[in-house]
Amino acid sequence: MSHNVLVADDGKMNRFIIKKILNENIDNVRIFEAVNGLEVFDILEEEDIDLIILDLIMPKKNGFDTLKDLKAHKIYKDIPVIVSSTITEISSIEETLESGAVDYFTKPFSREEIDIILPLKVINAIKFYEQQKTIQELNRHIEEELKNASAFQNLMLPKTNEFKNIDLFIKYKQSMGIGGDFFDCVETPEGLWFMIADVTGHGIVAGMISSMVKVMFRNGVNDSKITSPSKMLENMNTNVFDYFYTGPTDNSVVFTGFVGLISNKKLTYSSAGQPFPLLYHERDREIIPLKQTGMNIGFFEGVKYVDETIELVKDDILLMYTDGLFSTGKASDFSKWPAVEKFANENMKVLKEKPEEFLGDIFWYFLSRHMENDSEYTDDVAIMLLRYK
Amino acid sequence: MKISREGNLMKFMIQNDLIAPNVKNMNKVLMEALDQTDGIEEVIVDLNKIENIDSVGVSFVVSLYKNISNEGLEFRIVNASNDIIQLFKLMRLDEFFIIEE
Repeated sequence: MSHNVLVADDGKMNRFIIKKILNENIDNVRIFEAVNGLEVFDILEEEDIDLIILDLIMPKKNGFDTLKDLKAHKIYKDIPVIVSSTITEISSIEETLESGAVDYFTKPFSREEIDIILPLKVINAIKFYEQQKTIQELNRHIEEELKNASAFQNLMLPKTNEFKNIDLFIKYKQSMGIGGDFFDCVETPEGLWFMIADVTGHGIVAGMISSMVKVMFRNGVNDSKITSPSKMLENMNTNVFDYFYTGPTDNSVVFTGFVGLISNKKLTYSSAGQPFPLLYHERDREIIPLKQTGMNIGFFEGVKYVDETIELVKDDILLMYTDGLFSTGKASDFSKWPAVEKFANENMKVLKEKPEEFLGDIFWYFLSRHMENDSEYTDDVAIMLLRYK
Repeated sequence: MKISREGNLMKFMIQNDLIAPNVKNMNKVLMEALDQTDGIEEVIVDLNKIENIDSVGVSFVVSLYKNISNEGLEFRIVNASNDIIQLFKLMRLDEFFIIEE
């Protein structure tokens, strides 16, 4: 692999010396020459340059201006620049280093600089640039993969917002492009099944697990033996141990979840450690938390879950959310769920009349709370709202 | 994580918050300690210094419990803050091990 070095210096002798040093000390080096800053940019347009050795005092466009323009350039800004000059004042060197030069040397060259210092500085700058390019390429690759994964994950979202007796509204933000929160809503002859879940951790592994949660949920919905939300959670817990169990102390697949079934004007629900959902009752015009406790899926084998049932009337609204909404990793986060209840109470009119707007409002409200603490959402955030009609 | 022995008791004093970035290192220390449980009948986990916990941290505690009960030893959480106790109760972990209030 060859390295392309651009030597910009109006002194023919200087260019000759630098070329000689580079040719004698660096393998596979191709050298390009410019006599002013304008020519630097002409060559950059044509060639893929790995390093620029830049004289500061040149006609037409000097090295200071060239360096500033290079560092402000969208494409060329990362190319390392070593400045060279007869100027030895510390202020000039300081200025160029502050402007983004990686190193400098002064002319005329000493024997030591010709034999050791300049070749080493050039090799180090080229190596650094190569590493930087590798990292950028890896990042680009990862970003591309995450984008694909995110697009795939969006396929898992419910395909419609309108069901026979329910309007569905959702808001979802993955912290890393791909996330471990999951929700789904499926209409069956027996009623409407729905689930919200939050996989432990976030990122790619959590995203993979959330895909499996979707499959387990959909399989459960179609399984005639699963007749209630508690049975759904128990079945999922059994599946986790059947599919992923690696030993008595294993905890690799863990998630919280809340499953509901709306059928015959009744909501039956069961919780596996999910923050308490809120139910807006149209009849009493009040919001109540569904304070059911339950063990996370994947902690222990053979765990039993319980069902609770509540009657629904037209315009009742169920608000579910994952703890990413208010979570900062603090133990006190759990006790922050009443903040969601408080917000819902204060914005009950919007919740009732414009649910979609409510989701946006609550999302931004908690984001602004995070920002007050110089933070933002660090976990995935899923909010799901069902309106009974 | 500080580990001390007193008679047939082994005490794990968790020093750092039980959050994802810290848990990996704690797991290593834990595995070493669990190789030395001869003569131990009960393990106490002291959460006095823990202010922050996340879902990975909760999984760590459950994993710790599973490891210890798998050895046939008793397991107890002490000095947890009220917030942590409430979180463990939401997840019904108090049905599996003692959480001293």
